[in-house]
Amino acid sequence: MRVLVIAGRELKALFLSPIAYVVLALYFGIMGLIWWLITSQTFPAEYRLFAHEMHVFILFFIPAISMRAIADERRTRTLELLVTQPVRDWEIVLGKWLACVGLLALMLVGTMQFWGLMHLWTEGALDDLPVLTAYLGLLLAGMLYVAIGVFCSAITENQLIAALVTFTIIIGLYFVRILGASGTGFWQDVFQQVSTTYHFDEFARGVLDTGHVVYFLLGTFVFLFMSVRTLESRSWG
Amino acid sequence: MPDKSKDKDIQEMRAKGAQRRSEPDEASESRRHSGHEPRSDSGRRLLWISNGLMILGVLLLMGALGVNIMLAGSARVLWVRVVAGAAGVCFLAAMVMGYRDLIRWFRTRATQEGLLSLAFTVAVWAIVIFGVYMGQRYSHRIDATKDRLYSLSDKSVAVLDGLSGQVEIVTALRASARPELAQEVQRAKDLISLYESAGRGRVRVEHLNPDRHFDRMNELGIRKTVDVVVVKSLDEGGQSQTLQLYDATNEQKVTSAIMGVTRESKPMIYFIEGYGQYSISETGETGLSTFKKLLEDDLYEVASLNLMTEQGQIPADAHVLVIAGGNQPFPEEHQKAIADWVNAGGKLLLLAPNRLLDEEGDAPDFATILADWGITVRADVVLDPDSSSAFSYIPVASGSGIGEHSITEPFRTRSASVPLDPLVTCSLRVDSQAPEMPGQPPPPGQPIVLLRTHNLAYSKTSREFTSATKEASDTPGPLTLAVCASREIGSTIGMDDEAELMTTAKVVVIGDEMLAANGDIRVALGVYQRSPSRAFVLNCVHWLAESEDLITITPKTDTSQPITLTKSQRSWNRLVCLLSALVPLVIGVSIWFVRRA
Repeated sequence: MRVLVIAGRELKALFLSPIAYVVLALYFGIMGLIWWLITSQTFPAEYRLFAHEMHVFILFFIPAISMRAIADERRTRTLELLVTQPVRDWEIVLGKWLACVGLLALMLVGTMQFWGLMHLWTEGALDDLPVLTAYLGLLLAGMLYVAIGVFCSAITENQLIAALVTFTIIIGLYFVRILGASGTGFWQDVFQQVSTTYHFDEFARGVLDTGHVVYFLLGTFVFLFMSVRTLESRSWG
Repeated sequence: MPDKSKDKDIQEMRAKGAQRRSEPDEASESRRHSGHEPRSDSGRRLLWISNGLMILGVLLLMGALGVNIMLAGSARVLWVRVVAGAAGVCFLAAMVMGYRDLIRWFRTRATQEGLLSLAFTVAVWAIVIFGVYMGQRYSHRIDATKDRLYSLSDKSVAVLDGLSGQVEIVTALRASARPELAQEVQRAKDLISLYESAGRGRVRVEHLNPDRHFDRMNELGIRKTVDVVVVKSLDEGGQSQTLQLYDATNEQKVTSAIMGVTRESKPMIYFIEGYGQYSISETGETGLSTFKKLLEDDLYEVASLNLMTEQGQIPADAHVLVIAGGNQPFPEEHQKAIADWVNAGGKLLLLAPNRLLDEEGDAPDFATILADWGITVRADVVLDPDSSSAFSYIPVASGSGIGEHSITEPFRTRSASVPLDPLVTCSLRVDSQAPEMPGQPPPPGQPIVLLRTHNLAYSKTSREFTSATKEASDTPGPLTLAVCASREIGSTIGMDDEAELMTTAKVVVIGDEMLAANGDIRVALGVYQRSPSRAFVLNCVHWLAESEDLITITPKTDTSQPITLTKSQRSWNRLVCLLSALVPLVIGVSIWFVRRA
C-alpha cells in the first residue's frame, strides 16, 4: 500500500513538472514520424518493424524518466525526510520504479493508435496476437531498463550522471549481441543471453517464450535489489 | 635550589612529551582507523603508485578478456596468458605496496558492511543467473502468429523429441560480405534457432564467422569461401552433413539432415558397372571417384554393382541405382530387371551415353527402362553457339530453361545457368503429355523438364557432321537436357525397416554422361566453386535418395498482405501522427499556465 502511495506521489510530481509532457510529446512525435515514414510507401501488414523501432527509442527516453527517481531526493536532501517516515527502503525503491513504469506504460499505450490504424486498414485481417506479444515484450524490456535507471539514480545525486550511466548500461545490453558474433561457443552464448535484443526479438515476432519472460523479470529484480542495497548503504557510516 | 627544581620540572615535562609522542592518543588512533591519518610525502607517493597499479591491473584484465574474444588460434592462448599474467603482477605489486592501507580499509565499518552487502549481492546475482539459465532450459514457447510462422512443424518436433543423443548445428554464414544474401542468411539463422529452442538441450547451435574462426572451421572441414551450415551428431563416431545456404532455409532439408546424421544406416547408392560405364574406383578424368567422395561426404554409402556377376539381381538394400554412360550393349534382361525394380518403387539416375559419338555404335539407349516413363534418349549432340563461355558450344540451361523443381531450386536465380559438357551432351525427348514449358505442373507420373536450352541451341543428328555451325539438317532448339519423373507405388519392396522409402518410383535422366565424371567435378570444385552443374547432379541424387518420402513438410510463407494507403488514409495518418505529439504538449503547457496562475 505504501508502495502505491509513493508511486502515486512520484507520478504526480512527474506530471506536475514538464518532464512527463516533454517525454511523451517527444516520444509520440518521433514514433509518429517513423510510422509516417514506414507507411509512406507499400509496407507489410505486420507490426514487427515498428515494435523494433519503439524498442530502440525507449532506450533514449528511459534515462530521462528514471534519472530523478532517487538522485533528485538526494540532491534536494528530501531523502532523509523520506526515510524518517515509516517506510522501508524497498518500498521507496519499488514505489519510484512503479511510477516510472507507469509513465512508460502510458508511452506504450499512446502508440497503440498506430495498431488501431493498421487494424482499420487491413479490415481486421491483421494478425493481432503478435502485436500484443510485441507490446508485452516492450513493457518487460522497459521494466528492466527502468530498474537499471532507478539503480543508477540511487548511486549518485547528480541526475545527469545517473542518466548517462543508465544509457550506457542499457545501450550496452542492447548491443552486446554484436560482441557475441565475434566469439564462439561459450562466449557467443553468454553475450546472446545477456543481450536484451535477443530476448526481445521473439516477442516482436509474435512468440511468447517463458525463458525470455524470466530473463526480463529476474533482470528487473536484481537491479531493484541492488538499488535497495545502495539505499541502505547510507547508514554504513 | 629554585633553579634545580625548575630544571627537574622541565625534564619531567620533556619526558612526558616524549612519552606522548611515542604513544598515540585516541584521536590519532581513530584517525588512523578511519584512514585519514596525515601521510608523509613518500607514503602519499606509495599510495598513488599502488592505486595506479590497481587500475592498470583492472585494465589489463579487461584487455585479456578482449584478446580472448578478438583473437583466434594459438596466438589467443599465448596473449591471454601474457596479458592476464601482467594483470596479476600489477595486483600483487599494488597489494604489497598498499598492504597497510588495505588492512586499515578492511577494519572500517563501511568496508565491512559493504563487503557483506557485496557478498549478498553476488549470491543474488548467482541465483538470478541460475534462474535465467533454468528459464531458458525449461521454457515454454507459444507461437502467437496465425499460421505458426515461427514454429517447427509437428514432424520436425517429433524428430527432435526422438533424438537419443545430441546434435550440433554450426553455421558459417557471411551476411555482411554478400548483402544480396543477407535475407537468406537471416532466414537460415532464424530457422536454426527454432531447432535450438525446440531441441531442449539436444540441439546445440554455434554461429561461426568465416573470416575469423579458421581453426574451428578447419576442424569441421568447412572451406572459407562458402556459406554453409554443418549438422553434426555429437554421439561417439557421429556423422556430419553440410548444407548449402539455400538448404539451410528449408525446414525439410534441415530435419532430413538431422535424421541423416543420427541415423544408424546410410542410404545405399549402387553404380552399375560392366558395360562400359564410368567407374567409381577410377581416379582419371573419366572416373567417378570424386563424385563418390562427395556422396560419401553427404552420408551415402556408395558401391559398384556388376549385374553380370550378380545374375541381374539388384541388392535389397539399394536406395538408388546410377548408370553413368556406357559404350557396350546393355543386355535386355538387365534392362528389364532394372525397369521392374524401378517400377516397384526404385530410384534411378541415368547419365545417358551419347550414341551419336560412339564410334562402335554400341552405346545403349535404355529404351526398355525408360519406355514406361515416356522419355527417349536421342542420338544427337547438342551445340549451343550462344553459351557466352570461354569454351565454345557448351550447352547451357538458364533463365526459364531451368525447370521449377526442388532439384533446381537452389540455382533458380535470374543470373544462374547450368552448363553441361560440350560435344558429349545429347538431348532427350519427352512424351507429348508432358508440358512443353518448364515450370508447368505435369500430369501425375509424367516427366518434368529440369534443364532445357534456349532457342539458339541445336543438335547434330548426323554422325558425319563436319561443321559445328548450324545446318539445315540439325534439330533446332530448345532442346531438353534433363528430366525427372516420379510415380506413387502402392506396394513396397526391399528392407523392412525403411520400407516407406520405396513407395515412390523416381527417375532422373540427364543427357550428359560426363556430368559426374572426375574431369567435370574437379573443374566444378576448382574453378567454379559454386558450380550449378555440381549442385544439379548432387541434388538429383538427393532428390532420389532423400527422406522426402519419410518426411514432407510444407514450407510456411508469410501471408501478411502488403498495404498501400489511399489518399484519404494518408491524410488521416498524417493527422493522427501530428496529434499524437501535440496532445501531450498542449496538456503540459495548459497545466504549466494553470500552476503559474
